[in-house]
Amino acid sequence: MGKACMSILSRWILAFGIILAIHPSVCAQPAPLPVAPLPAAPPAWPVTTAPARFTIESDHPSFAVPMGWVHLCLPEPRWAAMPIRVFTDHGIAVGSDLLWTAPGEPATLLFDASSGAKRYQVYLGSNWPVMHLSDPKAGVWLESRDGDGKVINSLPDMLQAWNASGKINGRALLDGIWEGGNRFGPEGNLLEHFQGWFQLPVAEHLQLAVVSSDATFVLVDGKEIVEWPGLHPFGPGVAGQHQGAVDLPAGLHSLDYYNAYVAPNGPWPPLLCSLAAKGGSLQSWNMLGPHNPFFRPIAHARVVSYELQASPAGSMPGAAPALAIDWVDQEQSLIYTNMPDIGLISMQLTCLAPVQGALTWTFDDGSTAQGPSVKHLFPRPGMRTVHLSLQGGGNAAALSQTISVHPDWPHPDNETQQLYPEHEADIMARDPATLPAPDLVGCVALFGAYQKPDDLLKLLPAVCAKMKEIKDGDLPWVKDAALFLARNEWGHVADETQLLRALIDRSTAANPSPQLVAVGSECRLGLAQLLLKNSDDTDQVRSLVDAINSPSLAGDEPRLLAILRGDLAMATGDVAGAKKQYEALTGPPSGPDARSSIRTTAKIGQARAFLDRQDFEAAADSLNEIAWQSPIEKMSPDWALTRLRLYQGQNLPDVAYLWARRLLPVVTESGRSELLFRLTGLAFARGDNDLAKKTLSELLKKYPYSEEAAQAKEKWPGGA
Amino acid sequence: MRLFLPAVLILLAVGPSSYGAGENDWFVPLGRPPDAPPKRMSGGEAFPPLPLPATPLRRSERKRQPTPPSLFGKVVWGEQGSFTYDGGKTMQIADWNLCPADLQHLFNKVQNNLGLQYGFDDVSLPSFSGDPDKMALLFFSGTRTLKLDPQSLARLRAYVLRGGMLCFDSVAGSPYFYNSARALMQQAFPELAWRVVPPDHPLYHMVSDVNNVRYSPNVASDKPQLEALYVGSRIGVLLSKYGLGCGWDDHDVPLLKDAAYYEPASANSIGLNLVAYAIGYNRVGIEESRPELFAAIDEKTPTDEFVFAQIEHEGAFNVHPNNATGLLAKLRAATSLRVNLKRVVVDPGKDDLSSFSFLYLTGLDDFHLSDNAVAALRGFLQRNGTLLINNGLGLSTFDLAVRRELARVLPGAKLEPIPLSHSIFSDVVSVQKADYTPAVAMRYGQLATPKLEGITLGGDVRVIYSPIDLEAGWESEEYPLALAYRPDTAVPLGMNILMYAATH
Repeated sequence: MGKACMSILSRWILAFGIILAIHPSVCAQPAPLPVAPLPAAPPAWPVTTAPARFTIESDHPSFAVPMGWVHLCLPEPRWAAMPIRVFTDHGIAVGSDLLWTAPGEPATLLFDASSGAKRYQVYLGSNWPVMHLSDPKAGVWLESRDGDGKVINSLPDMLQAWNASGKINGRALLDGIWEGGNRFGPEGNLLEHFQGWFQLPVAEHLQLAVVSSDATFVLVDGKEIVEWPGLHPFGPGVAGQHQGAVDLPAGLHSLDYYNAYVAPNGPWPPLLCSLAAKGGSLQSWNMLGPHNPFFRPIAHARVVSYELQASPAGSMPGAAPALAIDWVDQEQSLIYTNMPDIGLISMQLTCLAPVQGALTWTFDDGSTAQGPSVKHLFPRPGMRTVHLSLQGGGNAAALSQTISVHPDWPHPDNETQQLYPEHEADIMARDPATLPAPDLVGCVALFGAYQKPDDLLKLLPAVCAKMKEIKDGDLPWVKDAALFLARNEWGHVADETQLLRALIDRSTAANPSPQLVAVGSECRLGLAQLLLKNSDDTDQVRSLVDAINSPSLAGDEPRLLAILRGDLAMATGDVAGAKKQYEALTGPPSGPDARSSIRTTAKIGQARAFLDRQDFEAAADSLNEIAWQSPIEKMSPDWALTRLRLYQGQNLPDVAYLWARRLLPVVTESGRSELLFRLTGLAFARGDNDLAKKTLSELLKKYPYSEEAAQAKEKWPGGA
Repeated sequence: MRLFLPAVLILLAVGPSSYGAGENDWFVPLGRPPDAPPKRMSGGEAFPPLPLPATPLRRSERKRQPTPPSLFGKVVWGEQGSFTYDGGKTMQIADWNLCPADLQHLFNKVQNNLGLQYGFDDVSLPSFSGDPDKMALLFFSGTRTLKLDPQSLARLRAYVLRGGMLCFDSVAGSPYFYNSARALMQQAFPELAWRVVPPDHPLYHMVSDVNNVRYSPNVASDKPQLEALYVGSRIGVLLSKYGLGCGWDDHDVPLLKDAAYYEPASANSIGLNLVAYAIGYNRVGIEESRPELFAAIDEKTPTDEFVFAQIEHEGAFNVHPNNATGLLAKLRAATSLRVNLKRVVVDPGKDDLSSFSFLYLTGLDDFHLSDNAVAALRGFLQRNGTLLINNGLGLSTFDLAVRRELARVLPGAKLEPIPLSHSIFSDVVSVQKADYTPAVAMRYGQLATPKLEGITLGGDVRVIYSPIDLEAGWESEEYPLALAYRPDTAVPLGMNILMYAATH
């Protein structure tokens, strides 16, 4: 494999070699490593120039493993570029190396855990020379890079693509090859390289089977054993269809697993990298998932405290912060895992310094909290600033930390995206006026996607008030939520109108961007639909329609506009015009349409069934689907009267009244008696007695023996 | 293989089986046999299902999916028993549910092929609502003799006459079930006759054309064989002599060597058509079940009014029960003609036709006129009466019968196309163009003008025949896949014909 198969380890050593080369503290010859027997009384602060240290505890204290890892939330970001030294709590120096750092993220530190010690001190910001890991061949190292979207069909192509890829998304130390989704960001074109180490006490016949999405190549000791090239879902590999085997001598071996994932445009086969093995420590087929005994073990550690040295030797750049915080993801409410910018992210934040006094947390979303450890819900992902201040107990200290708040992309406990009720309640308990505009938009986007009309209506005044502060790029979110409100029946027409008008005003600029023009046009269309359904103001509807920039409409919107033109014609009594417009959108009946009418009949039947069950949402969906596909059906008595019944079922008498009146010149034969009966009732209820008497008179005269006439005589015994 | 009978009696009295020994051989599970051991891979060692990493999924777009409405009800009847396979595995079986997954798999296919979500319920007849608006079709499946008490039969009859549909699937082609279902329905509908559903019936074309089918080896035919009792324009009761359900479940019938059934592909085509038919004709049935509405004044004995006299014959003679009244009302409103809204039913072989100037004959299938009726009709026409014949749904069986019977009524006379210049096309409203249902285009290509045939006697057209259903369009009801005029054409053309008959 030569150079092309350079290990993650070698690349990493090369990378940190560069750090060593540029860091002034290591330009001098490194001092001999202090390898000493267990001291009787370990020094209190062996790294004399380190201003601060973390104390960490291993999760596996009962046995020695080659290597451990820990996430360090560094209060001083510059420390990530300075040597970090690790000692056991008995004062023995152990090797360590930083695996990965990124702005706002915890740093990942690897350390030698072969001593079996439970506690370690991690010294920060010193000028001591680095003491590298002596045995880094344990666990599974993962490095993820950007892919170019090309389909990989051979190992040489894979290695070429890997070497050509410049951008590293992240690195991690794992205990298996068990990856679902991209842990370093949203799903995209990705190249993944796992390198693991395993020990065979005796010679073995090792079998390996790949279960993965897209191209995968597995090598043992640099020799390819199994591959599954090309684009594919993981399903056809779950019974071991892609497997290979190798006879190996006793000893330590390396396993390389490459995967080239191509992000799909439509369906959703997510990245999945996994491997099943039989042999070595595995007597039967096993997935090499978490806690498997196949790879050499690693330990995880966690930070338990942060301390300052009273008087560090030497002069290090900057003062050490007196406080440090640890942040970890809790739950998340997302629209899609793959969407980086929208979501409610709950994080646990803990002060790591053992302090006396009151701790106050101030967040950049306008909220505060008290106590050494708090759980906070961020209304939107991004680089967020957290301010921690200590007061009282004779102490005063403060720390401002920028942390990267983002979805926990491949979190296995949150496979199906959802809006947690407690997150919804948390946001709705806040005063919307205090939320910064971007956060407000984030909440609007989420509540719109999860169809939470009550929440949206509560946020709506604040959104209108801050409309000018909302960035152009965020306006589509607000527009989507506004259209969701306007195109469903929530009974808040005035509020919905206000929001749409505010969006139209916001999108009106001297030289609007195409995005602004599109937002303005869609909002005009939505407002026109809303007004037409709820009022007789057809002139205003017409002026809104005329102001729409048709070319800027995309997706379903052009068809919605065309249907609206038919609706407008119908509302003005132009039945022929409406019919012509609807027919143009439906297309002329032809042979196959003889069969497609069954679908229409079925959908209307289903709408009636849902209506009987009072499932208005499902009934509306069925009717809307028909109207979308065959707008001419809006003029069919079956569809039109079911719609009328639905409006009445939804307790929208004003909308029902308008709709029924518009049907008068449309439903002229079949179903007219029902129309007349219903309109009579609606008109009487609205005080439009003239119309009521007129329709009642027609009902009794033209349909004297109909069911509706009998009901009418009973309901309005005075007649017309 | 051993069979234990009976374990529990469901609908009938608890006690020993009421079935004979011969038909008990048919009481076996027709669903899938116990699973065979999984096949091993040949290319490498397969492994059992192993856990995989969790992967992020898309959020479901809908907050919830509504429960699909129930279109079919599977009727619970008969007895229960247990059956032991050769391997020792035992399973419970029941007369009504020998192929338990038939409807479930059929509706899965409906969703996949038609994009329609429907479901089904198990139905106990004593508690069945009988409302066709809530459930379009009741489905009976079985192999042994179907037994229903008089109350159940009455309930089923009422359901069908209100617009519901019954379907009997002799699921393994058992003669016991087929014969008993046929006899029971004849008992419930003594006024109707079993008819073979003709190849051009909409039932065979709703979703796809079912012209040829494949059966199990025991059946030497390649034509679908369904029988029906017609109620109005629709099938009220459908009977399949050969099994459909196992095909819907995508398997054969391994435990019965005499089984006769459709192979899955054919069964599925028929099944999808059946579901579409039940959907499409459910509203038709409900609408046709409504009583005809006319005023008390129309009840009086007609004097100088135009009377719509409809011929009763042995076939399905009352195809569109309410539509003529609709046309008559329009004719009354649009012209000065004195029109009686009440149809009069006449039997030409028995009733006196001398008081009528107009007779209407329609049907769906074959019919034969008695010699008396032939003579009476001949006399009627020779007295300058006008006979309008309408082919309900435009079916070929009725077309053949019409031509055959007319040759008896008027030997030597031949139906000829009526030219557009004839006054029949302009007596009340000029009808020079015609609007047809889409199915007409599937059969005849793009027709743009009305298509009537006639026989002229003494200078006037005395017999008018519409090979495409004219009456269907006299109301605005949809008759899916029917060869029919749309209302825009049917109403004015109908008024023209009636006016012509009244004035010539």
